[in-house]
Amino acid sequence: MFEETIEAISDREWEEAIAAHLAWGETWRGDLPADVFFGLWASLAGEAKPLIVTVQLNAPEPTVTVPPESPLTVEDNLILLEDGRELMIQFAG
Amino acid sequence: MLDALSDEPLSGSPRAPISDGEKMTFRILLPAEFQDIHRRAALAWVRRGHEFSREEWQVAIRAFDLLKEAAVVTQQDILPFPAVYYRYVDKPHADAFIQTLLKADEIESSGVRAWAEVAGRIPQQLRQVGLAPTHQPSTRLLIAYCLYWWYAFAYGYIFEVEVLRDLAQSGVQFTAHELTSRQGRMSPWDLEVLGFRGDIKRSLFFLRTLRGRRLPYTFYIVSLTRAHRSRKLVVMMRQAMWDAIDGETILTTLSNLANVLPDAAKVRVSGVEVIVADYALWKRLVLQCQSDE
Repeated sequence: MFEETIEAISDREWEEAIAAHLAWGETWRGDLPADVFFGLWASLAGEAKPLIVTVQLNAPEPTVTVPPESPLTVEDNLILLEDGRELMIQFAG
Repeated sequence: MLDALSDEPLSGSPRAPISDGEKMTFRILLPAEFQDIHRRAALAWVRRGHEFSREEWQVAIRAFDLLKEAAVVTQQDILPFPAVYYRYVDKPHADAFIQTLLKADEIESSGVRAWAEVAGRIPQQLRQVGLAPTHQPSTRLLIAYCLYWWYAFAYGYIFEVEVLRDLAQSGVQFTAHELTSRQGRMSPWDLEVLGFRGDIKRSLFFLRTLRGRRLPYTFYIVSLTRAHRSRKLVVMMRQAMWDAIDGETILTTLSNLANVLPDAAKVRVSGVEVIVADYALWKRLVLQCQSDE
């Protein structure tokens, strides 16, 4: 699919790669062909998964946990979102 | 408009440039998920991103997303890639670029010239401040990262300014976010039409917004190419907006959508129905709806 790694090429080849970028960038606007676009969208939509937050209720103190690879962070009953916002869960009743 | 530009600027005083002759020892800190294939994708994008296949884009989009978590580690500092981009590309060039677009009679040609002028200076600029010394090829990832996001910024706003000008000239009533300041550009959505919030995106950068299962806004004006590289504008919207402008659709699948256009089509993506309509048709229906009000 791809060629060498970015570190593996010579300085001259890297300069040529930058020159190539400046050349194609003048003519290509970032508009994907419709079939590529909708195909990619379908693939990415298939990969997207909901973020799982587990609330353990059958314990003296309810606990909130997220999977280790989750972008969310839990501090007590506070969930820290990726963009810095905080989501507080209040247990009532 | 673009997520990458929401990165926080570095705090503290500006960093003194390091001369290349000092042979600073660098380490590029990469997220664990950044693999060999992503290193290859970064180089391939610089060389020939315009002709990537669907599979190549899938890897490249991931690669440049992962690089947002990368950093240059020096003896004095840890500089996240987004912070470097902000300091040496966005901050000095973004506002002037937007002004160029807003003042231009020919938005695209003026924008492309302004893009090229900055893009051509990025490698040299990063070398001058000591962040991309030639004896450390791993710092090419930083150059690739800055070129990628500058390209995304420039072509994203060329398209956005073109669309906003077209909507205004067509008589569509809308409110748009403020483009001339960084704070204004960072607003979560680009415009409101009929009380619905929307975004204006090049197709490539629309895909970057798909981090979750659902589209956060009600509509997206997106540019694609069709046969012979002719440009096609479409509007992708939630049912609520389509109902408001009283459109009709045919049901299809995402993989078949390219064949259905320019007819308006309805697809189901991750359980959510999305209407895809030709931009000219959408504009006509919006105008009709606004004149009825």
